[in-house]
Amino acid sequence: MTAAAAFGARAAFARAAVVFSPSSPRVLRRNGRRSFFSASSGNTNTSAGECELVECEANFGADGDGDESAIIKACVARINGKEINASAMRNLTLLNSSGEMQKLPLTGDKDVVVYLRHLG
Amino acid sequence: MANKRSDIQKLGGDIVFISVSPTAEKLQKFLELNPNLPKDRVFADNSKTFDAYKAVGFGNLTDVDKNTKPEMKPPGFSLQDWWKYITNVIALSPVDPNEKLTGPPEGVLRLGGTFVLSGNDIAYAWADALPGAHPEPEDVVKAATNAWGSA
Repeated sequence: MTAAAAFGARAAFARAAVVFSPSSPRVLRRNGRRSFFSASSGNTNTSAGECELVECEANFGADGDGDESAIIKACVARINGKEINASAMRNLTLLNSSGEMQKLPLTGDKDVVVYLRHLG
Repeated sequence: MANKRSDIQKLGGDIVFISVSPTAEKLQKFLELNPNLPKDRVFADNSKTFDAYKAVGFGNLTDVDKNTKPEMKPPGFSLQDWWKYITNVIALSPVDPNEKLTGPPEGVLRLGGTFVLSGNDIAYAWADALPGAHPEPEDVVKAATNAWGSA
């Protein structure tokens, strides 16, 4: 978005057709434990306009080390080939108008985050 | 989108804005010119590498697929708005005054976007295809309502 957006300008955008795009399961590690991360479905298009959302499932501690499995489901967005999760924004520390670095004051639950293009 | 903050708050959420600016002075000037924006909800990525933008996968204007043809609407500026824009665009540009330019500054090429978060989930994501090709604010509120339910 540009500064024009801040003035309330609006743009309509053609949306692509709904597609189904499962991704391959991947193996991640957390605290040395193997975790399976798999995507189950997507619902829109590419990184131009509304982005594809994918539901992922992470199964931590499922490799028989005695701990109970903890399955975490999260919906991530696929943008320019990268899978982006909410934590990418929840942990941001940025410059505030007083010139200090501040962690974004998100509610931690219900948040809208708008990236403007630039100020000018 | 700023004028939708009250709708978002009614749903139990809130909104933050992120932009690109190398200095707090430019951010303050921007807020002076846009008094409808809540000062405590606007932040700037002042890193030289645009980390906040890269963290969410947004690209540069130079990366845009030439086949992308978003429908654009004019910004709906009044004459006064246009004057304000033209007389301040250079002062607000994301260029570090101490930096020697050898080409277009990357800050002016960064593209933005919009997210609705619901806990650990991203409930809605939009990447601007071109400057100004942002989502309809009503669509963002609708996505938030669908994700969060009515408060």
